[in-house]
Amino acid sequence: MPLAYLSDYSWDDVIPIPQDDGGENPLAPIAYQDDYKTATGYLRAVMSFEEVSERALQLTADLIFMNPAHYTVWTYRARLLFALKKDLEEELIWVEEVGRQFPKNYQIWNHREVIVDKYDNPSRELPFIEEMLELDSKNYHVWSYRQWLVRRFDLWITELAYTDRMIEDDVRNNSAWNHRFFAVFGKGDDVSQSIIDDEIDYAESAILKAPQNASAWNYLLGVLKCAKRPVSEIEEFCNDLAAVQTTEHSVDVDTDQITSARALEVLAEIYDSRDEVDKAADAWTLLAEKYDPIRENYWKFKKSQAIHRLAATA
Amino acid sequence: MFALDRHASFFQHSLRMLPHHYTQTDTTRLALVFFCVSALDLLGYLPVGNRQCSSKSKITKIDVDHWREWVYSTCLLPTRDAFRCSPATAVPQSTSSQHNDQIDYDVGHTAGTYFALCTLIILRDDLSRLDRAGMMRWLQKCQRPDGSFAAGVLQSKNSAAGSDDNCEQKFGERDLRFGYCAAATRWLIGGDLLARKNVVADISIHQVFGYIRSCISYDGGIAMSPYTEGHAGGTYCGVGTLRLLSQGNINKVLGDAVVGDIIRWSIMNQVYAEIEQEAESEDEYHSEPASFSSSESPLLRGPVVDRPAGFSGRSNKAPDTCYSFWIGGTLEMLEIPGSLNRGSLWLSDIRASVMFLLTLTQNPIIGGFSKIAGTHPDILHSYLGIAALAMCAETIRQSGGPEKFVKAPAELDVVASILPLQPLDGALCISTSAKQYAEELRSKWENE
Repeated sequence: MPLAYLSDYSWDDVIPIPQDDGGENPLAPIAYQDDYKTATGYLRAVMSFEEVSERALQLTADLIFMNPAHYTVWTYRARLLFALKKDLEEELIWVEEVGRQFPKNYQIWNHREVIVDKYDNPSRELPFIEEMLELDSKNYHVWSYRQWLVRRFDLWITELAYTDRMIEDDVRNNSAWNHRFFAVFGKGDDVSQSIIDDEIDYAESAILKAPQNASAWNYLLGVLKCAKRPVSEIEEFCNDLAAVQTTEHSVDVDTDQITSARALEVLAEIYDSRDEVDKAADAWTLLAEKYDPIRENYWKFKKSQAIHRLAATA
Repeated sequence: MFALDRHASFFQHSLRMLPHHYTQTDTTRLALVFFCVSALDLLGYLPVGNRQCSSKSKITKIDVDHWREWVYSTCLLPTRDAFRCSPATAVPQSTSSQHNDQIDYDVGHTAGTYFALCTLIILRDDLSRLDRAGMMRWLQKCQRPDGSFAAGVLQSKNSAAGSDDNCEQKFGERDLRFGYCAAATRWLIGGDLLARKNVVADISIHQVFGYIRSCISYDGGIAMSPYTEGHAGGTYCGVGTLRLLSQGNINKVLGDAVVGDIIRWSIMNQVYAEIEQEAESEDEYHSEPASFSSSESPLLRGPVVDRPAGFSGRSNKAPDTCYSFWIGGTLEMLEIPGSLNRGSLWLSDIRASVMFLLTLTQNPIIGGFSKIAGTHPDILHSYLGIAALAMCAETIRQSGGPEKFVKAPAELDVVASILPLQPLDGALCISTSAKQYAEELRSKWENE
């Protein structure tokens, strides 16, 4: 017999409903701790007729601390909060406690969205998000929640500066780079060419600090593509980083000077787009054999694909 | 070496009892059951189908029958049109009603339904107990106007009998996971066949395609929702959904260029493991430095070709066992137009990937795989590690054998040790023999 559920409220009138685990030999049964087993028994009981009460609300809180991934309990809690007309600010403070204890949990962000949407006031949000990103600067749920918040309350104005700061802290934080892309393009407005120029400069100066940084390279190429500008625009930039020495039909690099395999990859794409397949093939061979051998198969495939295409058009 | 028998005992133990720290997976217990049963299938331990079962397996046909019954008795809703994700979320119907818009919390879950169906197919059930048309109607209710899917639909008890649609409330996060589960469910129950015969309406396929397109990130990966970060889990779910809904013709839906971008992004996520750093770190999120930067200066580091390399889930993150599957499965599904090779997993460094799993995250003593080196194995990472290796094994078999995948003779036995794994279908994440069985059911339904 599991222990009594310890609560400030009386539960004497409720008969807990035990879990039906399918008889003698259940599959993947979890050795629940007694308090969890007892509390879920009461949860099933009050959920079966959707009791709307303070004690039910307290029960959801207790259960969430035992298992924050319990999805129906969150839904029940949200409905209780609204039905009991609870102070939503208090709820947000409570959710912050849960968030600190379970930073990787999915459900709290979903719940917080429901509450903040109803509360219609974002004032606690940015500081809490900030705190959570200090714990884990790449927390996917937190960044997604921030995007929702920015759209819901039209908070676009501060976002670019925020990503400046996050990228300065860690130039390889891909989440921060992604958020920057959202801040520039996510609103759906036309983005002026001068903003595009600024973003290209921004990404290039970040690449100069860390020439192999995939996040900055992907951002740079993403901005060019989104603005429908040709990749050849950054050819000079790549020439320097890859330290290429080219002739009309061949490419080599200065082994002592090359700092970025990604620059060499971009050059290969640029040559290929101009049908300079000999040069592209050289660049891919260098990547396969020397500068990015983990992707040897891929670079060789790119090369053979270009050669086949050339043969087919000839 | 691949510790096949140790893994088999790890999963059998897990099916019998899990320690309390699995409590956070309580409401997704069918996922755990599916991982265990499907792993045992890939390891050749299940007495199902025509193939020879491992002589070391003590699993009997009676066990298989019991497991099948257990899934039905604990997780199928009385309406027979959806499964719960766990016995823990079952709430018995109460006749007493306190208020008018009282909600019925005992509802189906798209992920639970996918896990249940896969488990039942692996165990060679014929799904005749299900209301398949009803399940299709339920999937339609789960679909949102933007094309994405919810985990499920909560309904007030009063409206369940009547038809007041306003009392329906979709629940669950807005991301690509539930859409994938819905697409797999539709295929496994032959929902497309039912729709073609006008038995029931289909889900809105074009809305699904539109939603997935809107999730494609500027970096080439697929994000969990529009404008969020390209992520291997989102990429797998997006590509898997397209595969299951487009009769395998992903290139026609996305175009060759976009498929090429996804392949590139996936291949770029193969990264060397920083062995020393990983072993010290309890958790990738809290490891120092803040970002994973193993790729920062291979140019200065000299030859690195012998080191193991796994897959990361996002750019500049550390490799982790599960991404070997999310990325590997994505590549397995993406075809290259004009190529004679199946899929595109062969473009990755299979050897480095196998070495990452076998030498760093496998636990050869108690079985199972951990997320990163030096931590305890768990069921999810154990299953996905094995599923990833099963796809690697198939690529090795189809590309001339293990000799072509080693750099030193001593590695031959290690790489060859994964070859007893059964082949895996990347899109459904079950063995190809289980998928063939599902195809047999589908053709039976088609001719009914």
